[in-house]
Amino acid sequence: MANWLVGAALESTRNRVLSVLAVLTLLVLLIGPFFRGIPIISQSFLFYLMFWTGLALAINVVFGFTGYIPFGYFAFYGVGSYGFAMSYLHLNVPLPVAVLVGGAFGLVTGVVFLPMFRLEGIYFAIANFAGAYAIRIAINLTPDDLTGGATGLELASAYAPLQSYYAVLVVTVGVVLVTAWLLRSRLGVMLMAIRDDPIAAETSGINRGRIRSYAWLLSTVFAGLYGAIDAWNTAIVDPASSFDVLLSVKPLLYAIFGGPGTLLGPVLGAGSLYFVDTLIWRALPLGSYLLTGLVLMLVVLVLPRGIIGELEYRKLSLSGVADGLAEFWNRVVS
Amino acid sequence: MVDIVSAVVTGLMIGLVYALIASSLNIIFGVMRIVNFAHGNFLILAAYSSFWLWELFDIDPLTSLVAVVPIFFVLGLVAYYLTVPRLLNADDTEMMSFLVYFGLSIVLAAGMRIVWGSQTRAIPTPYEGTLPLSVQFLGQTYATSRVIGSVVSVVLLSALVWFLYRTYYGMAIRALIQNREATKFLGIETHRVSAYSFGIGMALAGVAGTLLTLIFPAFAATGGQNYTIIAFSIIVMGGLGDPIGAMIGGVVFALVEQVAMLFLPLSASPLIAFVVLVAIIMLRPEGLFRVQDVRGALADLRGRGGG
Amino acid sequence: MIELDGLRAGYVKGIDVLDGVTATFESDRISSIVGPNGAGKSTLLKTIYGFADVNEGTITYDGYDLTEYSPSEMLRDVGIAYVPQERSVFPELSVHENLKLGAWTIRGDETRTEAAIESVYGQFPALDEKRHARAGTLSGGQQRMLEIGRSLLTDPDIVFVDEPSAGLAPDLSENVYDSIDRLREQSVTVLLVDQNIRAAVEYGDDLFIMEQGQVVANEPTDDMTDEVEDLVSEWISAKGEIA
Repeated sequence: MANWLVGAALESTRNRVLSVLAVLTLLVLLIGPFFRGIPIISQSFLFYLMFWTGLALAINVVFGFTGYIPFGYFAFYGVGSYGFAMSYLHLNVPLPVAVLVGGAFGLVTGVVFLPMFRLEGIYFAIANFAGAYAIRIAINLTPDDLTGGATGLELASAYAPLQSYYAVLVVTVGVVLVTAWLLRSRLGVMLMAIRDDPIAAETSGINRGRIRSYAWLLSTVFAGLYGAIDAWNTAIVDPASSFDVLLSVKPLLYAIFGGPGTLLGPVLGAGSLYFVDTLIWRALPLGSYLLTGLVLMLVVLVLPRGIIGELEYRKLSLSGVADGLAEFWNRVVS
Repeated sequence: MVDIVSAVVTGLMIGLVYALIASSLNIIFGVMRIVNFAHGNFLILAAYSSFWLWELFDIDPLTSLVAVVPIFFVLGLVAYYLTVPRLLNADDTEMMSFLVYFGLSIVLAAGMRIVWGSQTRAIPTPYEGTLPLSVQFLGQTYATSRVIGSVVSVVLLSALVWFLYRTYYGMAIRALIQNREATKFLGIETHRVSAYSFGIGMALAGVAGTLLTLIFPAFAATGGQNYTIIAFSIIVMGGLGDPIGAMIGGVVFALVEQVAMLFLPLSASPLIAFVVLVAIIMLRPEGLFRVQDVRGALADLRGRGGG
Repeated sequence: MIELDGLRAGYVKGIDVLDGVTATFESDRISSIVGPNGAGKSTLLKTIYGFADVNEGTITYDGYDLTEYSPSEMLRDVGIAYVPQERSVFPELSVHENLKLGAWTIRGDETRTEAAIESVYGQFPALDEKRHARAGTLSGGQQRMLEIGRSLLTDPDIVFVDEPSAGLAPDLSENVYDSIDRLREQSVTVLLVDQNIRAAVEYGDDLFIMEQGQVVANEPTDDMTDEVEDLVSEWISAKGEIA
């Protein structure tokens, strides 16, 4: 595995540049919580930067690689947070394990949603959203001592921001590696074949259903993990917050904006839009929903292919830019 | 059981408004294949306009329709011309339109909440003084507002059916729903007819939103999503694009909802919409009440048709 | 007549499907356009009608510049009807309603519309029998005839027909071609795109062979050069249609 990773990193100038950037970023994030006094870049800021980037990459595994749009993605985050909270509160499971339970809840719920893949694009999107919404409403009806009903569960004792910070770092690194792996693996190639030409893929012997479900479940597991970690970080678990529709919209938006189906796309998209979101949120706290919706509309209308896609369409490319910079650097140095 | 009778009658009355809501969404979806996820929010917007006209100027909901209809028609045209030409250039128009209108849904809900607050609103008894507060029917009591709301719905639904099935323009709209591309070869200005259809759909939504203030005890800025899901459940049930199916579906849906509420707690009722929607999409996506099935069956019985 | 000069056109910027087409389609004659898949035959019709972007060249009809007309104006103002390759009936509407829609541009004149529809029923008795049947229940051949009949309601001067017999059994397509033949008798100019080279040569007056976005040969069918005649025979014996 390590061999593969190193090999991929050294493969081309572009990859070398990106790998260096990635390692630098990782170092910064590792010591992030110990920086004090830098405006805006607080531990919380970095936490959510990783959080949203990771979710964007995770939803990208479904959206970018298979072309299905899971509008009900927030459900997997939600059940993840509930799985985390319930296993900790009712079964006294240690917190890191509770996070894994959250991931498991995401997985199981993902399995329940699998039959929806029989449906075409729009039907899938609507059913997916409706199913997720139904789960949210159903929680309101469950016994209070189990799930806290409409008011949610009390998690103050689990609050440990430093630990949850490193947890989110680990999971995000995981999601980045998984995406990088997917892009180059047989699984990833098959997924993209299914997305681009389902009939041709089928006739080449690719089992669409099975391959798609791998991607789907991978994605829902990560959503569950993130749900659990966010619950750990905020100590809040209730139907409204845990099943907030923004948890579907923002990752989708970031992935679309950056360019779905790539590794850099969601990263860039999440990074840039998260900055914007933070700055605006500081100015207008109530505006978050409104602005997210507005940005979603504008991005789809103005940049239907995402940043990366638009660059490619217009024959510019980020890799071209990176290659150009690298060459310039070589010339300067030699 | 007395409760059943009440549930059925109430279901019919609410169903007529649901039928109107579904029909309005159906036209928009059928003509452009645009998944207008913001439909419910437009309903709430209309409800709010009636509410404020009542609060500030003492204008009752029915009278407010005079303003609501043209305004929402224009809103529909604006929404069409701002979004559709761009969406048609996308690789996956349906999906992109879903995203755009999903975004719009969030914008509208958040906007209304910011501007008008998140408390529930209502127009209680707008016709107090001119009409009795309730009517008796088969030994049960029903609020007059609700009866008025359903009567207005019937009138509009009839007008819509007449328009779609008895006028040239309505026939063109039905044609557009069935085979959009083909209309371009017949000299029909496809874009313009689509835009007007959008406007008509929105105008009907405006009426339905106003009627909400009569039919339901209250509404809130964030209630739009619920109605959107209900509307989609209904048109999927009735067969996407099928005008009559949407109407039948609306009534059936409300009946199911009302009867189910006799046995389930109140808070579970939104759940019904979702369960119905997911079930139908999974089991019979072409819908339960496609009129062509009915007509086809009738034709078979009479021994003609087919070929 | 329709004159094309150096026509370059396509659907996506930068890609020309038509690569410099120069041709003249004479009035009151059936011009058959044939060629292998991807030659640009359908695109030619679509471009003249306004569905594709003209990047270079001209399209004129009796002196009028056709590039200035949008598709919906083609029928109403110029008088060109188009029977496309894809199915264009409205399946849930009746045969009669389908025809009425063909008369959309003259719908204000009720007498004329009714007379035109009855005339179509006269020419296509099979349609008359099924006036109130849903168009979707008709057989493929009947639907094709409905489409052709519908295109005649506004009394067009020119009719484009794209692949009239695609997917039809031979005996059904004969009816379709007969109805196209009759158009010539009514002084209607026909531009016919067809994979079925045998029918194209049999019913067409002028033959246009297209390859890779250009017209490479153009001859009257009853006076073909040996070269073209050989090519055509080769195609016909190979399959009866061009691959």
